[in-house]
Amino acid sequence: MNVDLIFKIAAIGIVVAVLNQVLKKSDRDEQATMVTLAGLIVVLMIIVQQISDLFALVKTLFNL
Amino acid sequence: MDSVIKIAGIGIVGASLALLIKKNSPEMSLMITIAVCVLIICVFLSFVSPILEFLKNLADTAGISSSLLSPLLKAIGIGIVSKSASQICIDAGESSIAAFIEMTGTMLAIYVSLPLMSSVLELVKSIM
Repeated sequence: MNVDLIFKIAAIGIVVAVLNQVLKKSDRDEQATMVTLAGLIVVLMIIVQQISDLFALVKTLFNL
Repeated sequence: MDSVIKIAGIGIVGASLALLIKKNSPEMSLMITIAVCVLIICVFLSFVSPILEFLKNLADTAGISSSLLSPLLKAIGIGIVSKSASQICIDAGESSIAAFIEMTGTMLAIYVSLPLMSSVLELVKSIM
């Protein structure tokens, strides 16, 4: 759990946003939507891992 | 003490990154918000264990059994998790989901402290 994770996700987000704009301007809306969806799924996979680690930590710390 | 400055820096950088991306793809900015929040909560939890140790020490010195202390700790954990989840939902614009998460968290906290309350009731009954 370090700060590089945030920069990774931010980089993926910026790349997805730029690709989205480029594809929309060149009139390929479905591909733009698919690129956004793919980026979202990749980032979600990273984050869900971190969230599950966090909740395991909370669970052990508070004896839930 | 420098942890506070680190956390403040990470928070501000994360908020500006999220704002940068929000116009083009709001769901990505929510992901960045979630990542920053998870990071900050991890740092927060690393400071909580000495405090928990001290609380347990205090309870042992006062002669209170640890079964009375555990509902308190569980309620704190439930509060942290439900508060963070509900605030993230508010950021996503789903304030009704957030309200129901908070409501469930409150209900679970009361449910978890039922043994404590029933032992207080027993105590009061035995006094009267």
